[in-house]
Order: sequence, then C-alpha cells, then structure tokens
Amino acid sequence: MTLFLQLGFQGIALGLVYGLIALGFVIMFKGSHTFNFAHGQFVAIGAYVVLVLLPRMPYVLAFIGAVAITVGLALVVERLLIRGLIGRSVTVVVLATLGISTMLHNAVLMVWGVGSHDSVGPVGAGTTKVGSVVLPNSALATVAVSVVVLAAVAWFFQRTRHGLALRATASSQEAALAQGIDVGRMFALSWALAAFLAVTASIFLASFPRVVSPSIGDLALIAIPAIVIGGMDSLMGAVVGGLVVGLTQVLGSNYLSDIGGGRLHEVLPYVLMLLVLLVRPYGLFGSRSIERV
Amino acid sequence: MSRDASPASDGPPALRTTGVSAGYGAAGTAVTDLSLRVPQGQVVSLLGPNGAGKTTVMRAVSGLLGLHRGRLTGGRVELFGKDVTGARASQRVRAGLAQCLEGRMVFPGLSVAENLASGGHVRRYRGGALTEARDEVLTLLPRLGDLLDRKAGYLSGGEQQMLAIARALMSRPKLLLMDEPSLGLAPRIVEQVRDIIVSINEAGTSILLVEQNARMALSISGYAYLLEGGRVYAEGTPEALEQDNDIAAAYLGAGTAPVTPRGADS
Amino acid sequence: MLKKPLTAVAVASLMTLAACGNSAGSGDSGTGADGVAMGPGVTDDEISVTVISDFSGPIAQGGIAGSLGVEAKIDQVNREQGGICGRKVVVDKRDTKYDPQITTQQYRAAAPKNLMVAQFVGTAGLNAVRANIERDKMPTLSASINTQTLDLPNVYVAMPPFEVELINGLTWAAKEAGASASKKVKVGFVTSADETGKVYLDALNHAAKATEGLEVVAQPTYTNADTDFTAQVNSLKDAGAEIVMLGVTPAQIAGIIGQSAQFGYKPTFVSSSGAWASSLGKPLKGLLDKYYVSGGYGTLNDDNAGIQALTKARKAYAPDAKPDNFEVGGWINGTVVVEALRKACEAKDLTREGVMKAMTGLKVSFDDILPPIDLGDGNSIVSFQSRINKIGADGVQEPVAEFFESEAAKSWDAARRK
Repeated sequence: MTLFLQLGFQGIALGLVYGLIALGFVIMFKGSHTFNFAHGQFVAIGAYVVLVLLPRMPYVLAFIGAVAITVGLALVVERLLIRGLIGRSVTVVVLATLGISTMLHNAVLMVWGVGSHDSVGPVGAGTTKVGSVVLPNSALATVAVSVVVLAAVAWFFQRTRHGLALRATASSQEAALAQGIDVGRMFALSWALAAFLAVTASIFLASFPRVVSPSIGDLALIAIPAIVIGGMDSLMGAVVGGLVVGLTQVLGSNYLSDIGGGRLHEVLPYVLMLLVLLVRPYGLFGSRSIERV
Repeated sequence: MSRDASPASDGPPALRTTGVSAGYGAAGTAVTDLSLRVPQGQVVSLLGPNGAGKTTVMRAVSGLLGLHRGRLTGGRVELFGKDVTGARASQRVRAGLAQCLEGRMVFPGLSVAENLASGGHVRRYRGGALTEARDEVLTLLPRLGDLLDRKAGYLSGGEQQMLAIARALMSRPKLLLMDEPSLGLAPRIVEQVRDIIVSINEAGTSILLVEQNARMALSISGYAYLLEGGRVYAEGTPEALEQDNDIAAAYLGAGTAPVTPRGADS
Repeated sequence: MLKKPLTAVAVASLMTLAACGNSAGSGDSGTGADGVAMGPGVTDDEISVTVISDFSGPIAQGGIAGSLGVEAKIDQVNREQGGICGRKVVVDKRDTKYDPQITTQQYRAAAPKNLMVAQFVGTAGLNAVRANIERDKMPTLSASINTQTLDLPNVYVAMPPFEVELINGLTWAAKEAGASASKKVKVGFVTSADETGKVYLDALNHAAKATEGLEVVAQPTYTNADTDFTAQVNSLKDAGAEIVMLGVTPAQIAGIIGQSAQFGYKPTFVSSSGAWASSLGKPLKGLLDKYYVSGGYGTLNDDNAGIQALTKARKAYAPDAKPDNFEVGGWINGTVVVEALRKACEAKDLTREGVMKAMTGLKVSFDDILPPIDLGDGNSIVSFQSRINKIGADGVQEPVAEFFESEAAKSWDAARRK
C-alpha cells in the first residue's frame, strides 16, 4: 500500500507537469488553430534560461526572467513565422512548427552544448515524510505550484475579460472580430500563456533529481498522447490526459514491469491514445463541435 | 434610374462610403465604386439578389474583409465623419459600430451570459456595469433573461438570432449592421425581429440592414439601396422604389419571400 | 516521440538524394606513387577515416568528447610526424543523432570515401549497418564497447567491454563488503529493458554466481522514456540490496542515485564507465560517496605519460573543449587506428584488407592509460582489466585501486563463447 501511494504521488506530480505542457498545446491550438510542435523547445529554453539566471539572482526573479524571455521568444515566433500561415492547410502549419522546433533545438545546442547541467527546481533534494510515504519536496512543490497555476488559468479563462475573449476567438474568429476583439492580440496572448506554462513545467521537469539537458524538449512531447487522450480542445482534458500519462508511466514501471520485457509502460500512453481515438475521436473531454440547432 | 434626392441628415452621417471597391483575390471585384450613406438615426436597407455584393459591403464597413482573404481596392469608409478606411475591426467597434453577422454566429460553446459579455468586450465593463448593460439589453429581448446559463449552441434558431442581436447591443453601438436577421426564421419570429429592430432604432441607433426579405426591410427603412452585380442599381425611399414598376416587379415581389432576381449569380 | 520519426524521414530523404550516384564499394583506388596499394579514401597525400557518432542527439555529450579523442590523436600524428605513410590523416565526421535510420544513411554516404571507421558510436546503429560493414569489408572500431558489437564481423573493440567492467565492479564491491560463504551480501542489478540490458544482466548474474557470498535479490529494468525511478529504487530498497550494479547510461544515473537518496536508501552503487558524465557531479553533489565507476581505461585525472600526451594534444587541437572522460576512449581508438595504419603502410597495403590484416594480432601500448592490449583475431575481448574510480570534485573520476582482472570476467567470456 505504501508503495502504491508512493508511486501514485510521483505519478500525479509527473502527470501535472505533463498537464501543464499539454495545456499549453491546447491553448495554442484553440487560440490560433496551430498545433505547435515547437512547444517542447519552449519548455527546454525555459529551463536553460532559469539555469543561466539562477546564479545571478533570487529564484523568483530568475523564474520571472525566464518567463519574460520565453514569452518574448514565443511572441516573436508567433508574429513572424506563424501568423502569416493562419488559414493555410494544417500540413503547412505543422511543417512550419516542426522546422521551428529543429531551429530552436539547434540554437539550444549551439548556445548551451549537448551536455547535461544542474537541476533548476525551486526546492532541493529534501523530502517530507507522511506516515510511511516519502514525499520528495520537489514533487510536493510540483503538485502545489501546478494546482495553483492550473486554478489561476481556469480563473483567467472563466472570470476575466481577456479569458472570455480568448474563448470567443477559439470559438469563431469572425464573430470575435465582430465584437471588437483584436484576434491577432488573442493569438499572441494564447502563445504567451502557453510559453508561461512551458517555463512553469520546465522547472519541474528539471527538478531534482532530473537535470537540464537538451532532451527536455523531446521529453515534453509525451504531452501529445495526453492531449489526444484528453481532447484537443479541452483545457480540462489536457490536465486529465497529463495525469493519465504520468500515472501510467510511474505505476506501470512497477506493476507492469514483468509484461512485455518491461517496456509496456513506455508504449502504454500511445496505446491508450489509439484506443481513445478509436472510441472517442474527440478525446475524453473534447467536444464534438456543437452545431447550431 | 437612381434618384437625386439624398436622405436628410443632421451632422455627419453614421456611415458614409465613397467609391468603395472590394474583392477577393483571384475571384475579382465583388463590389465596384459603391457610395452609400446611413444618416444618423435612420434605418437604411441594402437589398439585392444573392451575390450582389451585400455582405461584401458589410465586411468593407466592419473591417472583416481581411479575414475572408478579401481586400478594399478603392474608396473610403467613414463612421460618424471619421475615416476608418484602413482601421482594424476592433477600432471600428470602438468608434460605435456593431454587427449581427449573417448566420447569427453565436459562440456555441459559451453560455448566453458569456456571449453577451463578449459583446461588451470593447466597453471593458467592470463589476456591476456589465450586469447593468445586460439588463438594459434584456429589456428589449426579455426572453434571453431566462436562458442566461444555457449554452448558446443549444438555443433554437430564433433564440440564437435574438442572442446575436443582444450581443451586438452590448457595446451600446451608435450604428448597427444587420446581415440577414430574418433568414431561416418562422414568419412569427420574423415579426418579432422586425419589432426589435424598430425598437433599437427608436432608442437612437442607426441601422444598416441587409435583407432578402425586401418587404419586411422596406417597411421599417427610411431609405434603401438596391445592389446588382456589385453596383448600386437603384436607391431611394421605400415609397419611391415601390412606385417604380420595374423595380417592384424584379426585386420587391409580393409577400415576404423575395422574387428570384435576374442574374442571381452576378 | 512524434517529432523524431518525422524529422528522421525528412533528413533521411534528403540524404538519400545526396547519396545518389555514390556507390558504396570497397574497390581499390589503385597503387600510389610510393608503391602502396590504396583503398577507398586513400590518395597520395591523404588517408581519410570516418567517425560515425552522435553529435547532436541524446548522447552527443559522449559522442562529441569521444570523437575529440580520435581527432586529437590524429592531429598529433599529423603535426608531429607529418601523418602516416607520408599522408595526412583526415577525419570525416558524420552525425547520426543516435538514430539507426540516420546512421544507415550516414554510413552509406561515408563508406565510399573512407578507408575505415575510426570510431562508431551506438549499438543499434551499428547493428543497422552490420551487413554493409561486412560487405564493404570495412574495418570498424566500435565505441559501444560491449560484446554484442565485438561479435559483429569486421568490428573491433579495443577496450575491455562494459560487461567486463560490470563483472569486475561487482567482484570488487563484493570483496569490499566482505562477502563470503559465511557472510551473504545482497545485490541488485539495474539494466535497460532491451537486448543490451539482457547481455549486461547475463554477465552480472554470471559474476554473482561465480563470486562467493552474493545473493541477487532484485533486477529492475528501465526504458528510455522513464524519468521517475520510484519503482526501480523501491524494488531494490525493499529487497534490501546492499550493492547495486548500474548497467545504465548517464540519462538514468541522476534519477536513480537522487531518488535513492530521497527514499533514504544508500547502497553501494557501481556502474560501468559508460554510465557517468562529469556534468552530473553538480546536481548529485553530496550523494556520490558510495558511488563507484568500474572503468576499463584510465581517466583524465591520471598522472601518466598517456594521459599527459592526450591532454597536451587536446589543448593543441581544441583548447576550448571541456574535459570529458569519453575523450580517453576516443584517444584509445585513435591510437589503434594510427598503429594499424602504420603497420599496414609497412606492408605497403593501405587497403581495407591491408588494414584488417594489420589489425590482426596488433599489439598496442597506451602509455599506462590502460594495460597494453592485443587485438588478436578481432573477435576476442582484448583485455579483462578494470579499475575502480570514485567521483571527485567537478565530477571527475579518481581511482581508488589499481587495474585488476577478475576470474569471473574470464569465465564469463569462456561461457559466452560456447
């Protein structure tokens, strides 16, 4: 039982990180109809910027700095490379974001090299014991911050004027424009929000004992099955999908280790993704677009 | 054929287009050298067959051409005397323009209340101001008051049209563009919509109304333009247009259904 | 995951285009002015050899450092001795991104232009081109130092393989723990859930059986997608393993050692040399006092003639490069290449057959970086020597004992060859 709780907690912590990344994907997808394959590189860049800033300033400032820089980069990419492609075929946009991903990845390699670096989590290696369950402080911080950030994002979408405008834009660009909503600004806002989530995820993806390395960008792409499982256009689904993937990985690495030569848990998120696609192509929480009656 | 008499007005017109031409890329020009005015406080109708360019005119006025890969190739658009030819859609809304798009285009996944709130986007209503504006709008369209928590996608067609109108009113517009508000609605609902348009106008909002239902439109308009092939074919007061036998026969028909016009695909 | 195959396809298709018109042959280019028979990549002025490695993918850190070792050695020979056989030796570097598909394309493009593969990184990639290597008669030095690659035709492993490192590491740790008939010591093994992992596991189990007083209590596996090692660590901890052998890569080390510490579990960890990267010293600071690396060759910190020569050559060739121990492995392969080419030159045969003939029975001394080796028939383990290192400041390895060889390693080799 202890082990189950232990694994479950780690799975939830990891799943929430995936959820933050998946949420970014979904927000961009809804906001600008772009499936941004370069999102994983925003996660990587966020981690590297925190790494660079940390020795020079307090943690919070380093985080804010990384958010500012990554958001800035996302805005430049969106405005210069993606905005002009809006309305073009999905293939064109996907190829463009794949190209951007490769560019950013190589930029990371050029600036920071191929090696691994330190961890950049907000807390160190310490642990907190609850009964017989050992909770790493890094995982506790992951859960606490993720929950706060997710709640803040939900509040933003449900309760603020810009949140509503983003949802309106996601629903219909033409109708949003007709209400005087600056759709271009909404595209930018959705990318900025996704970049903020990417940096938040990155500090936990590189929390002790995980470290900053170029593979973080690829690691972040595990969010893709999470999105498909949850539903491409569902904010809630992104988080649930992330949790499903995180729990599958961690619980599976224990309980499924005797099946399939110990590799089953590696492919299980993708198996689940395919199953969901077969049964509910719009994901667990996605909407069959509601047509007018 | 067009009449010389221009509608009377006080101050600058709510809308004036001068020699506007617009088109969609390779598809060529959809509207040519179009000049029209909506005097303040009036209802002006834009009539004509399918493909005559009515919606293109609306888009040229509201700034939505770009979204449809269209472009203004000439002319000038003024709202209340202010040149908005190159302005973005959001700037035009801030200048007092609102519109009900063809097909209603409510946000289906958002609740009625959220749809209404989105209509007030440019007004930046805070706290009680939003509820206040909403209550004001709901006095005109009281039925929506019971549906506030309903997802707009689940409303009936008539309710969606009411919502589209209410949403447009949330920004307290001075000029309202309405594109085919009666399309696809039952006659009883068309009557309601007509009454609402009259009430909105009586409250002081100028209206540019695009309608295929010419009878309904003319019955509440002070002036009308007849479009054909992207050009103004005729204009005048409803009475004058109805007196012209050719026009009456070709465009105004009898009853509420429009007669199939000549050159419907021009 | 989705990105990789797509990128791979794109890159692969580009390279297929580029490779058109080249035929990957092993045909001789004729005889040089000096009467030396010349194979592909050899002219009167040049001998071209290729390094096929990961320069920008997941194990690029090791791949680049390993290549640097080869390059530094060859640069040294070019500078100090004017090359080999009156010819300058050039290194043709090919980036595989650790992807077998890209590796195949890169090998095909490199083969017609090079005499030999001075260093090949990646077991999966090597397996992907094994048929080409056999057909091209391409002498290939593998940096994936395991017996899987050693067994491939025309592939040489010039260092003790990882299996030998692991076996020696386990016998050393058992002795340190005082394992004996009367004192049982529990051990656990962590390996990857794939073919390579199985071979490591086989070697470790052999060593455990051959060593008195060892009891294997847990054998958790991992996959490359794992970033959380709660399951693996807890299975070791719950089984009470006092010694944990890590047949892993640097990508897993921090997770396993870090999470063990978090769960209050502090066994003796021993890994092969391929599992440690010096950059891990920082995040794992303070957690490494019971972690040891069993290495088949020395470290950059050693004070001997071989390492001094390497350090000097690297400073001359790439003064800004960060020191990394994989350089030493590259230097060893570079040294073998140089010795083989020299011997082939003496026999006036710089063809691939000539190089392979030269490699047979080639004895190479590395000036104490590791004890001298004999390449033998090319399919035998060249040395059973290992040395145990601990991790010092900045993550560099520091020896805690001299080179030694275990009976278990030899008996395992005898058993596996049956």
